[in-house]
Amino acid sequence: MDGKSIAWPTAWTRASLELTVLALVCSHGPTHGYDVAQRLLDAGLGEVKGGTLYPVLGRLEEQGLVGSHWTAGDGGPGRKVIEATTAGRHALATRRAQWEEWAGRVAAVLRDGTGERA
Amino acid sequence: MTERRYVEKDYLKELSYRLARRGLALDKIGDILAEVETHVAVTGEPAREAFGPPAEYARNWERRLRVRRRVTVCVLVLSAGFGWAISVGISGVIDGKPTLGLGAWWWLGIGLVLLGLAALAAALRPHAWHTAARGREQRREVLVAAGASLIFVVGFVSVIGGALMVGRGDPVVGLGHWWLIVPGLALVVAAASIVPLARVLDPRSGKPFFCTRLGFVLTVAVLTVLVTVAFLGVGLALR
Repeated sequence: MDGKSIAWPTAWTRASLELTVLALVCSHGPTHGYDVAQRLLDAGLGEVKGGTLYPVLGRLEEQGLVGSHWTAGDGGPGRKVIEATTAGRHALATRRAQWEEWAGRVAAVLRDGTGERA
Repeated sequence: MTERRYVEKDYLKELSYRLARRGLALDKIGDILAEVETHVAVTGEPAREAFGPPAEYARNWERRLRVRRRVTVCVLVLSAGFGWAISVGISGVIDGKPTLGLGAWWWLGIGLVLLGLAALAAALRPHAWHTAARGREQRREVLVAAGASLIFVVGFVSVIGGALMVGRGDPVVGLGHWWLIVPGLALVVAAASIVPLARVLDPRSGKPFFCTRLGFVLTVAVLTVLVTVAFLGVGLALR
């Protein structure tokens, strides 16, 4: 199944976006907003528009999980460079463990309706 | 190409207005506008397509609006109290009668205290007087803001005093009501034209994105005219 052509339910994207964006910034930072959008698309999570992505990055910045600064552009407008902070990397480790636990429980319920994990 | 640039500028202007209405700090607004410009320049995607209509995009940035609304309501109530106390004080100076057992000068004093509290509450708002200007320029802007506030208060009191005189017909210090209302309005507009609010700076260059001062001047002028008309109505009703 090609992830790029799948229209995932908006609610799923919304629920996972903050965590996936943080993970991509941690793995590929320093980076730019549009680079994160491209990586989400390449990962098969669908096209995330700037109108959705930048406020998520803004929230992560407000929480102190990513930092940013502007650099001069080559003949074009300057670019905003974003990078994970130490707090961001710690938060990612914690949230990733929680997400895996959550996803496992959801999968168990979907599999046999009992919620008992395999 | 030229047309495209103009379209984007309109988008940025509307977005700036919508974000400011939602109470975002001016430096944050500058950051958001710069992000939109960079994204459009790098991806070639039109702003409306990538970010949606400005009003919708601004909604995505909404933060702690309830807190800001409470502060705004507080500023408005204190400002209204200031207007009322000053009006009662001026009225007392004109006819020499106390109101609610307090003399004119008490009311004028209460008005000034309320004005101070309103200014304090306004300063506590996260984005108030925040110009993103730095160093010497920031000090200059604070001085200009203080001067503009003083001119505004003198003009505002003059307008309200003149409007209240309509119902009494007595001149104050030998001047008729229009001699207070018209210069008062001129002072209010002058104050609005020099106050350094609504400057959204581009974080990349440090220069303003565009001048929104005219809109601010017009807003203050229209509000002052409305307040004047309201007080004129009160003055005529008392006649």
